[in-house]
Amino acid sequence: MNCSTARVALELMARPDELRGKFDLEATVDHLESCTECAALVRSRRQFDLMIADTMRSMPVPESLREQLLTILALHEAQRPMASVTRIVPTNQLAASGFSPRVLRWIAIAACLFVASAMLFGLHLARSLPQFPLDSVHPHFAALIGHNGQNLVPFNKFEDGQTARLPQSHLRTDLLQGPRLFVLHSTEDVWIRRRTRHAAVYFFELTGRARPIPGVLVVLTRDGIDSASQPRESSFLESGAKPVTGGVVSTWTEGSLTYLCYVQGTERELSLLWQPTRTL
Amino acid sequence: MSQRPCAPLLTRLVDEHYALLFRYAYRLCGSIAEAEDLTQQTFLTAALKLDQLQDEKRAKSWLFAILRNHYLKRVRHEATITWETLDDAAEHSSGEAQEIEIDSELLQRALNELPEEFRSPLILFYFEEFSYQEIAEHMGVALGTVMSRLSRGKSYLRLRLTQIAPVPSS
Repeated sequence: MNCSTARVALELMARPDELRGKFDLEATVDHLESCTECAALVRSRRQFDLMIADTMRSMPVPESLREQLLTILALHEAQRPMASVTRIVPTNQLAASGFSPRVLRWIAIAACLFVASAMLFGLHLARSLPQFPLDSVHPHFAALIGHNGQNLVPFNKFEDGQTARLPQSHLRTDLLQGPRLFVLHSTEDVWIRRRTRHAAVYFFELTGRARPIPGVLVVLTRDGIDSASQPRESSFLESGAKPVTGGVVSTWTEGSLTYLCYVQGTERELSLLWQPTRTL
Repeated sequence: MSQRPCAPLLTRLVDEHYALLFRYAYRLCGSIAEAEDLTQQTFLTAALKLDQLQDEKRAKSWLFAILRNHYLKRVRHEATITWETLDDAAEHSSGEAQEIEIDSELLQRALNELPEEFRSPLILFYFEEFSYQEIAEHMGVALGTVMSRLSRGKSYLRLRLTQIAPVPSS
Protein backbone atom coordinates (compact mmCIF):
# COMPACT_ATOMS: atom_id res chain seq x y z
CA MET A 1 0.00 0.00 0.00
CA ASN A 2 1.35 3.39 -0.91
CA CYS A 3 1.06 6.54 1.20
CA SER A 4 -1.70 8.08 -0.88
CA THR A 5 -4.03 5.06 -0.53
CA ALA A 6 -3.22 4.69 3.14
CA ARG A 7 -4.02 8.31 3.87
CA VAL A 8 -7.46 8.05 2.27
CA ALA A 9 -8.20 5.07 4.46
CA LEU A 10 -6.75 6.72 7.52
CA GLU A 11 -8.91 9.77 6.99
CA LEU A 12 -11.90 7.62 7.74
CA MET A 13 -10.35 5.40 10.37
CA ALA A 14 -12.36 7.04 13.13
CA ARG A 15 -15.10 4.50 12.46
CA PRO A 16 -13.11 1.39 11.47
CA ASP A 17 -16.06 -0.97 11.97
CA GLU A 18 -17.91 0.69 9.16
CA LEU A 19 -14.98 0.54 6.81
CA ARG A 20 -14.55 -3.21 6.67
CA GLY A 21 -14.79 -4.39 3.09
CA LYS A 22 -14.19 -0.94 1.70
CA PHE A 23 -10.52 -0.65 2.62
CA ASP A 24 -7.83 -3.10 3.48
CA LEU A 25 -7.53 -1.99 7.06
CA GLU A 26 -4.82 -4.46 8.02
CA ALA A 27 -2.66 -3.32 5.14
CA THR A 28 -3.28 0.29 6.16
CA VAL A 29 -2.20 -0.44 9.73
CA ASP A 30 0.87 -2.26 8.44
CA HIS A 31 1.72 0.73 6.30
CA LEU A 32 1.29 3.04 9.25
CA GLU A 33 3.79 1.02 11.29
CA SER A 34 6.38 1.20 8.56
CA CYS A 35 5.88 4.81 7.40
CA THR A 36 6.78 7.46 9.96
CA GLU A 37 5.51 10.27 7.76
CA CYS A 38 2.02 8.75 7.53
CA ALA A 39 2.06 7.91 11.25
CA ALA A 40 2.81 11.54 12.07
CA LEU A 41 0.10 12.66 9.71
CA VAL A 42 -2.42 10.37 11.36
CA ARG A 43 -1.50 11.66 14.83
CA SER A 44 -1.83 15.22 13.62
CA ARG A 45 -5.20 14.59 12.00
CA ARG A 46 -6.56 12.82 15.02
CA GLN A 47 -5.49 15.67 17.20
CA PHE A 48 -7.13 18.07 14.80
CA ASP A 49 -10.34 16.05 14.76
CA LEU A 50 -10.43 15.98 18.54
CA MET A 51 -10.01 19.73 18.71
CA ILE A 52 -12.73 20.33 16.16
CA ALA A 53 -15.07 17.93 17.94
CA ASP A 54 -14.37 19.60 21.31
CA THR A 55 -14.97 23.02 19.84
CA MET A 56 -18.20 21.95 18.21
CA ARG A 57 -19.55 20.22 21.30
CA SER A 58 -18.48 23.00 23.62
CA MET A 59 -20.88 25.45 22.04
CA PRO A 60 -22.89 26.71 25.05
CA VAL A 61 -26.63 26.19 24.87
CA PRO A 62 -28.77 29.13 26.07
CA GLU A 63 -29.93 28.40 29.61
CA SER A 64 -33.51 29.35 28.92
CA LEU A 65 -33.84 27.29 25.75
CA ARG A 66 -35.28 24.18 27.37
CA GLU A 67 -37.95 26.08 29.30
CA GLN A 68 -38.67 28.16 26.23
CA LEU A 69 -39.23 25.04 24.14
CA LEU A 70 -41.44 23.37 26.72
CA THR A 71 -43.51 26.52 27.12
CA ILE A 72 -44.01 26.91 23.40
CA LEU A 73 -44.93 23.25 23.02
CA ALA A 74 -47.40 23.49 25.91
CA LEU A 75 -48.99 26.58 24.35
CA HIS A 76 -49.12 24.79 21.04
CA GLU A 77 -50.82 21.82 22.68
CA ALA A 78 -53.36 24.10 24.36
CA GLN A 79 -54.24 25.77 21.07
CA ARG A 80 -54.77 22.58 19.15
CA PRO A 81 -58.41 21.51 18.67
CA MET A 82 -59.46 18.56 20.77
CA ALA A 83 -60.25 16.53 17.65
CA SER A 84 -56.61 16.48 16.74
CA VAL A 85 -55.30 15.61 20.16
CA THR A 86 -55.35 11.95 19.30
CA ARG A 87 -52.84 12.67 16.55
CA ILE A 88 -50.13 13.45 19.06
CA VAL A 89 -50.51 10.18 20.86
CA PRO A 90 -47.51 8.24 19.70
CA THR A 91 -48.09 4.98 17.98
CA ASN A 92 -46.25 3.00 20.57
CA GLN A 93 -48.55 4.34 23.30
CA LEU A 94 -51.61 3.47 21.26
CA ALA A 95 -50.20 0.04 20.79
CA ALA A 96 -49.76 -0.16 24.53
CA SER A 97 -53.53 0.27 24.90
CA GLY A 98 -53.90 -3.28 23.59
CA PHE A 99 -55.55 -2.41 20.28
CA SER A 100 -53.92 -2.53 16.91
CA PRO A 101 -54.05 0.67 14.83
CA ARG A 102 -56.52 -1.06 12.50
CA VAL A 103 -58.89 -1.83 15.38
CA LEU A 104 -58.47 1.67 16.76
CA ARG A 105 -59.41 3.08 13.38
CA TRP A 106 -62.61 1.05 13.32
CA ILE A 107 -63.40 2.09 16.87
CA ALA A 108 -62.97 5.72 15.83
CA ILE A 109 -65.28 5.21 12.83
CA ALA A 110 -67.89 3.49 15.01
CA ALA A 111 -67.70 6.34 17.52
CA CYS A 112 -68.23 8.89 14.76
CA LEU A 113 -71.24 6.94 13.44
CA PHE A 114 -72.69 6.70 16.94
CA VAL A 115 -72.35 10.45 17.48
CA ALA A 116 -73.91 11.17 14.08
CA SER A 117 -76.83 8.81 14.82
CA ALA A 118 -77.37 10.41 18.22
CA MET A 119 -77.45 13.85 16.60
CA LEU A 120 -79.98 12.70 13.99
CA PHE A 121 -82.15 11.10 16.66
CA GLY A 122 -82.00 14.31 18.70
CA LEU A 123 -82.99 16.32 15.67
CA HIS A 124 -85.90 13.97 15.03
CA LEU A 125 -87.02 14.31 18.65
CA ALA A 126 -86.81 18.09 18.50
CA ARG A 127 -88.88 18.16 15.35
CA SER A 128 -91.53 15.83 16.73
CA LEU A 129 -92.08 17.88 19.89
CA PRO A 130 -95.34 19.85 20.01
CA GLN A 131 -94.87 23.24 18.50
CA PHE A 132 -96.78 25.90 16.81
CA PRO A 133 -98.28 24.10 13.84
CA LEU A 134 -97.16 26.44 11.15
CA ASP A 135 -93.73 27.36 12.35
CA SER A 136 -91.92 24.71 10.45
CA VAL A 137 -94.04 25.05 7.37
CA HIS A 138 -94.00 28.55 6.13
CA PRO A 139 -92.41 31.34 8.07
CA HIS A 140 -94.62 34.04 6.62
CA PHE A 141 -97.76 32.05 7.27
CA ALA A 142 -96.70 31.26 10.79
CA ALA A 143 -95.88 34.88 11.44
CA LEU A 144 -99.25 35.99 10.20
CA ILE A 145 -101.17 33.73 12.52
CA GLY A 146 -98.85 33.33 15.46
CA HIS A 147 -98.36 37.04 15.91
CA ASN A 148 -101.75 38.08 14.79
CA GLY A 149 -102.18 40.38 17.74
CA GLN A 150 -99.93 42.92 16.15
CA ASN A 151 -101.79 42.87 12.86
CA LEU A 152 -98.76 44.14 11.04
CA VAL A 153 -96.34 41.69 9.63
CA PRO A 154 -93.74 42.84 7.16
CA PHE A 155 -94.33 41.39 3.77
CA ASN A 156 -92.70 41.80 0.46
CA LYS A 157 -95.20 42.48 -2.21
CA PHE A 158 -94.96 43.58 -5.70
CA GLU A 159 -97.00 46.14 -7.53
CA ASP A 160 -98.81 45.64 -10.75
CA GLY A 161 -99.44 49.08 -12.02
CA GLN A 162 -101.67 50.86 -9.57
CA THR A 163 -103.12 47.68 -8.17
CA ALA A 164 -101.55 46.11 -5.12
CA ARG A 165 -101.09 42.44 -5.72
CA LEU A 166 -100.46 39.56 -3.42
CA PRO A 167 -97.04 38.61 -2.28
CA GLN A 168 -95.75 36.08 -4.68
CA SER A 169 -95.17 33.56 -1.91
CA HIS A 170 -98.92 33.28 -1.49
CA LEU A 171 -99.21 31.84 -4.91
CA ARG A 172 -97.06 28.84 -4.15
CA THR A 173 -99.12 26.27 -2.36
CA ASP A 174 -96.29 23.78 -2.19
CA LEU A 175 -94.65 25.92 0.45
CA LEU A 176 -97.63 25.41 2.68
CA GLN A 177 -97.41 21.67 2.86
CA GLY A 178 -95.67 19.98 5.68
CA PRO A 179 -96.06 17.68 8.63
CA ARG A 180 -98.26 20.14 10.55
CA LEU A 181 -100.24 21.62 7.74
CA PHE A 182 -101.64 20.15 4.63
CA VAL A 183 -103.10 22.36 1.99
CA LEU A 184 -105.99 20.37 0.63
CA HIS A 185 -106.09 22.54 -2.39
CA SER A 186 -105.78 26.12 -3.30
CA THR A 187 -107.37 28.19 -5.95
CA GLU A 188 -105.51 29.96 -8.62
CA ASP A 189 -105.07 33.55 -7.59
CA VAL A 190 -108.45 35.04 -8.29
CA TRP A 191 -110.18 38.35 -8.75
CA ILE A 192 -113.05 38.38 -6.30
CA ARG A 193 -114.52 41.38 -7.94
CA ARG A 194 -113.28 42.09 -11.38
CA ARG A 195 -110.10 44.05 -11.12
CA THR A 196 -110.82 45.16 -7.61
CA ARG A 197 -109.92 42.33 -5.31
CA HIS A 198 -107.15 40.03 -6.09
CA ALA A 199 -107.09 37.04 -3.79
CA ALA A 200 -105.53 33.69 -3.11
CA VAL A 201 -107.51 31.00 -1.33
CA TYR A 202 -106.04 28.08 0.55
CA PHE A 203 -108.01 25.20 1.95
CA PHE A 204 -105.93 23.50 4.53
CA GLU A 205 -105.88 21.05 7.34
CA LEU A 206 -103.90 21.43 10.50
CA THR A 207 -102.53 17.98 11.08
CA GLY A 208 -100.54 16.26 13.78
CA ARG A 209 -103.35 16.51 16.26
CA ALA A 210 -106.05 14.28 17.69
CA ARG A 211 -108.17 15.18 14.76
CA PRO A 212 -107.28 17.26 11.73
CA ILE A 213 -108.61 20.80 11.90
CA PRO A 214 -109.80 22.06 8.54
CA GLY A 215 -109.58 25.69 7.65
CA VAL A 216 -109.30 28.15 4.88
CA LEU A 217 -107.19 31.20 4.43
CA VAL A 218 -108.05 33.95 2.06
CA VAL A 219 -105.56 36.65 1.26
CA LEU A 220 -106.95 39.58 -0.63
CA THR A 221 -106.40 43.22 -1.24
CA ARG A 222 -107.75 45.40 1.45
CA ASP A 223 -109.90 47.75 -0.60
CA GLY A 224 -113.41 47.94 0.76
CA ILE A 225 -112.86 45.36 3.48
CA ASP A 226 -113.37 46.25 7.10
CA SER A 227 -110.48 44.99 9.07
CA ALA A 228 -111.20 43.36 12.37
CA SER A 229 -108.34 42.23 14.51
CA GLN A 230 -110.45 40.27 16.94
CA PRO A 231 -111.58 36.77 16.00
CA ARG A 232 -115.28 36.39 15.82
CA GLU A 233 -117.59 33.47 15.37
CA SER A 234 -118.97 33.35 11.96
CA SER A 235 -119.32 31.10 9.05
CA PHE A 236 -117.44 30.87 5.93
CA LEU A 237 -118.87 30.21 2.59
CA GLU A 238 -116.75 28.40 0.19
CA SER A 239 -117.75 29.40 -3.22
CA GLY A 240 -119.60 26.60 -4.92
CA ALA A 241 -119.68 24.44 -1.81
CA LYS A 242 -121.83 23.88 1.20
CA PRO A 243 -121.71 26.61 3.83
CA VAL A 244 -119.57 25.64 6.72
CA THR A 245 -120.63 26.80 10.14
CA GLY A 246 -119.45 26.56 13.69
CA GLY A 247 -116.03 27.91 13.06
CA VAL A 248 -114.04 30.99 13.78
CA VAL A 249 -112.95 33.59 11.36
CA SER A 250 -110.02 35.73 12.17
CA THR A 251 -109.26 38.70 10.03
CA TRP A 252 -106.38 40.99 10.09
CA THR A 253 -104.68 43.37 7.82
CA GLU A 254 -101.19 44.13 6.79
CA GLY A 255 -100.53 47.08 4.61
CA SER A 256 -102.87 46.84 1.70
CA LEU A 257 -103.65 43.17 2.29
CA THR A 258 -106.38 41.59 4.31
CA TYR A 259 -106.27 38.07 5.66
CA LEU A 260 -109.26 35.99 6.49
CA CYS A 261 -108.55 32.75 8.28
CA TYR A 262 -111.33 30.36 9.03
CA VAL A 263 -110.80 27.39 11.28
CA GLN A 264 -113.50 25.00 12.38
CA GLY A 265 -114.00 25.07 16.11
CA THR A 266 -114.74 27.55 18.84
CA GLU A 267 -112.90 30.70 19.67
CA ARG A 268 -111.38 28.94 22.66
CA GLU A 269 -110.18 26.15 20.47
CA LEU A 270 -108.72 28.67 18.14
CA SER A 271 -106.93 30.46 20.96
CA LEU A 272 -105.57 27.13 22.13
CA LEU A 273 -104.42 26.48 18.65
CA TRP A 274 -102.14 29.46 18.86
CA GLN A 275 -100.48 28.12 21.98
CA PRO A 276 -97.25 26.62 20.74
CA THR A 277 -96.96 23.65 23.04
CA ARG A 278 -100.52 22.62 23.62
CA THR A 279 -102.67 20.27 21.69
CA LEU A 280 -106.39 20.36 21.27
CA MET B 1 -54.73 31.09 28.64
CA SER B 2 -54.12 28.00 30.70
CA GLN B 3 -51.31 25.82 29.50
CA ARG B 4 -51.58 22.10 29.18
CA PRO B 5 -48.29 20.39 29.83
CA CYS B 6 -46.92 18.97 26.63
CA ALA B 7 -47.05 15.23 26.07
CA PRO B 8 -44.57 13.15 28.10
CA LEU B 9 -42.91 11.86 24.96
CA LEU B 10 -42.39 15.37 23.67
CA THR B 11 -40.91 16.47 26.98
CA ARG B 12 -38.59 13.51 26.88
CA LEU B 13 -37.53 14.32 23.34
CA VAL B 14 -36.79 17.90 24.34
CA ASP B 15 -34.77 16.82 27.36
CA GLU B 16 -32.72 14.30 25.43
CA HIS B 17 -32.07 16.14 22.20
CA TYR B 18 -32.54 19.88 22.47
CA ALA B 19 -28.91 20.69 23.29
CA LEU B 20 -27.49 18.62 20.45
CA LEU B 21 -30.11 19.95 18.06
CA PHE B 22 -29.30 23.51 19.04
CA ARG B 23 -25.58 22.92 18.48
CA TYR B 24 -26.27 21.29 15.15
CA ALA B 25 -28.50 24.22 14.17
CA TYR B 26 -25.88 26.71 15.28
CA ARG B 27 -23.14 25.00 13.33
CA LEU B 28 -25.41 24.86 10.30
CA CYS B 29 -26.48 28.49 10.31
CA GLY B 30 -23.85 30.24 12.43
CA SER B 31 -26.32 32.34 14.38
CA ILE B 32 -27.52 31.73 17.93
CA ALA B 33 -30.88 33.39 17.34
CA GLU B 34 -31.47 31.45 14.16
CA ALA B 35 -30.34 28.25 15.84
CA GLU B 36 -32.88 28.78 18.64
CA ASP B 37 -35.53 29.43 16.03
CA LEU B 38 -34.64 26.30 14.09
CA THR B 39 -34.67 24.20 17.26
CA GLN B 40 -38.07 25.54 18.16
CA GLN B 41 -39.43 24.92 14.67
CA THR B 42 -38.08 21.41 14.82
CA PHE B 43 -39.95 20.55 18.00
CA LEU B 44 -43.16 22.20 16.80
CA THR B 45 -43.02 20.11 13.64
CA ALA B 46 -42.24 17.06 15.75
CA ALA B 47 -45.30 17.78 17.90
CA LEU B 48 -47.49 17.93 14.81
CA LYS B 49 -46.07 14.78 13.27
CA LEU B 50 -45.40 12.76 16.38
CA ASP B 51 -47.58 9.95 15.11
CA GLN B 52 -45.03 9.41 12.34
CA LEU B 53 -42.44 8.42 14.89
CA GLN B 54 -42.82 4.67 14.93
CA ASP B 55 -39.73 3.90 16.99
CA GLU B 56 -38.50 6.22 19.70
CA LYS B 57 -34.97 4.92 19.18
CA ARG B 58 -34.97 6.69 15.85
CA ALA B 59 -36.13 9.96 17.36
CA LYS B 60 -32.69 11.57 17.17
CA SER B 61 -32.26 10.95 13.44
CA TRP B 62 -35.86 12.01 12.88
CA LEU B 63 -35.42 15.29 14.74
CA PHE B 64 -32.13 16.06 12.99
CA ALA B 65 -33.79 15.42 9.64
CA ILE B 66 -36.63 17.80 10.52
CA LEU B 67 -34.16 20.47 11.57
CA ARG B 68 -32.12 20.06 8.42
CA ASN B 69 -35.25 20.32 6.27
CA HIS B 70 -36.21 23.56 7.99
CA TYR B 71 -32.72 24.88 7.49
CA LEU B 72 -32.65 23.91 3.81
CA LYS B 73 -35.96 25.68 3.24
CA ARG B 74 -34.40 28.83 4.61
CA VAL B 75 -31.26 28.72 2.55
CA ARG B 76 -32.68 27.26 -0.62
CA HIS B 77 -31.42 30.19 -2.64
CA GLU B 78 -28.19 30.64 -0.77
CA ALA B 79 -25.14 30.62 -3.01
CA THR B 80 -22.79 27.74 -2.50
CA ILE B 81 -19.11 27.53 -3.09
CA THR B 82 -17.82 25.60 -6.03
CA TRP B 83 -16.58 22.04 -6.08
CA GLU B 84 -13.31 23.23 -7.55
CA THR B 85 -12.49 25.05 -4.36
CA LEU B 86 -12.89 21.88 -2.32
CA ASP B 87 -10.88 19.89 -4.81
CA ASP B 88 -8.13 22.46 -4.51
CA ALA B 89 -8.31 22.16 -0.77
CA ALA B 90 -8.02 18.40 -0.93
CA GLU B 91 -4.90 18.68 -3.02
CA HIS B 92 -3.33 21.15 -0.63
CA SER B 93 -4.08 18.95 2.34
CA SER B 94 -1.61 16.25 1.49
CA GLY B 95 0.89 17.81 3.84
CA GLU B 96 0.85 17.51 7.59
CA ALA B 97 -1.47 19.87 9.41
CA GLN B 98 0.09 22.53 11.54
CA GLU B 99 -0.31 22.81 15.30
CA ILE B 100 -3.17 25.23 15.74
CA GLU B 101 -5.54 26.72 18.28
CA ILE B 102 -9.08 26.33 17.06
CA ASP B 103 -11.30 29.25 17.79
CA SER B 104 -15.04 28.57 17.80
CA GLU B 105 -15.86 31.59 15.65
CA LEU B 106 -13.13 30.79 13.18
CA LEU B 107 -14.43 27.25 12.96
CA GLN B 108 -17.91 28.58 12.36
CA ARG B 109 -16.71 30.86 9.60
CA ALA B 110 -14.98 27.95 7.92
CA LEU B 111 -18.12 25.84 8.24
CA ASN B 112 -20.23 28.64 6.82
CA GLU B 113 -18.03 28.70 3.76
CA LEU B 114 -18.80 25.09 3.03
CA PRO B 115 -21.82 24.03 1.06
CA GLU B 116 -24.49 22.46 3.24
CA GLU B 117 -23.95 19.01 1.75
CA PHE B 118 -20.41 19.11 3.14
CA ARG B 119 -21.22 20.98 6.32
CA SER B 120 -23.94 18.65 7.60
CA PRO B 121 -21.93 15.42 7.49
CA LEU B 122 -18.97 17.16 9.09
CA ILE B 123 -21.06 18.45 11.98
CA LEU B 124 -22.75 15.10 12.48
CA PHE B 125 -19.38 13.36 12.29
CA TYR B 126 -17.75 15.58 14.86
CA PHE B 127 -20.67 15.30 17.23
CA GLU B 128 -19.79 11.60 17.26
CA GLU B 129 -23.46 10.83 17.60
CA PHE B 130 -23.96 9.40 14.16
CA SER B 131 -22.46 6.53 12.26
CA TYR B 132 -21.50 6.95 8.63
CA GLN B 133 -24.57 4.94 7.71
CA GLU B 134 -26.82 7.21 9.79
CA ILE B 135 -25.27 10.27 8.19
CA ALA B 136 -25.88 8.74 4.77
CA GLU B 137 -29.53 8.10 5.64
CA HIS B 138 -29.86 11.56 7.10
CA MET B 139 -28.46 13.15 3.96
CA GLY B 140 -30.23 10.76 1.62
CA VAL B 141 -26.99 9.82 -0.14
CA ALA B 142 -24.86 6.71 -0.51
CA LEU B 143 -22.34 5.72 2.14
CA GLY B 144 -19.46 6.28 -0.27
CA THR B 145 -20.69 9.79 -0.95
CA VAL B 146 -20.69 10.53 2.76
CA MET B 147 -17.13 9.29 3.10
CA SER B 148 -16.01 11.33 0.14
CA ARG B 149 -17.68 14.47 1.42
CA LEU B 150 -16.27 13.92 4.90
CA SER B 151 -12.80 13.48 3.56
CA ARG B 152 -12.95 16.58 1.42
CA GLY B 153 -14.72 18.61 4.06
CA LYS B 154 -12.18 17.73 6.71
CA SER B 155 -9.36 18.57 4.33
CA TYR B 156 -10.90 21.91 3.68
CA LEU B 157 -11.35 22.62 7.39
CA ARG B 158 -7.74 21.72 8.14
CA LEU B 159 -6.51 24.03 5.44
CA ARG B 160 -8.91 26.82 6.24
CA LEU B 161 -8.13 26.77 9.93
CA THR B 162 -4.40 26.74 9.34
CA GLN B 163 -4.82 29.62 6.87
CA ILE B 164 -3.50 27.56 4.00
CA ALA B 165 -6.70 27.29 2.07
CA PRO B 166 -7.77 30.19 -0.11
CA VAL B 167 -11.01 31.89 0.85
CA PRO B 168 -13.56 30.12 -1.34
CA SER B 169 -15.54 32.14 -3.77
CA SER B 170 -19.30 31.87 -3.98
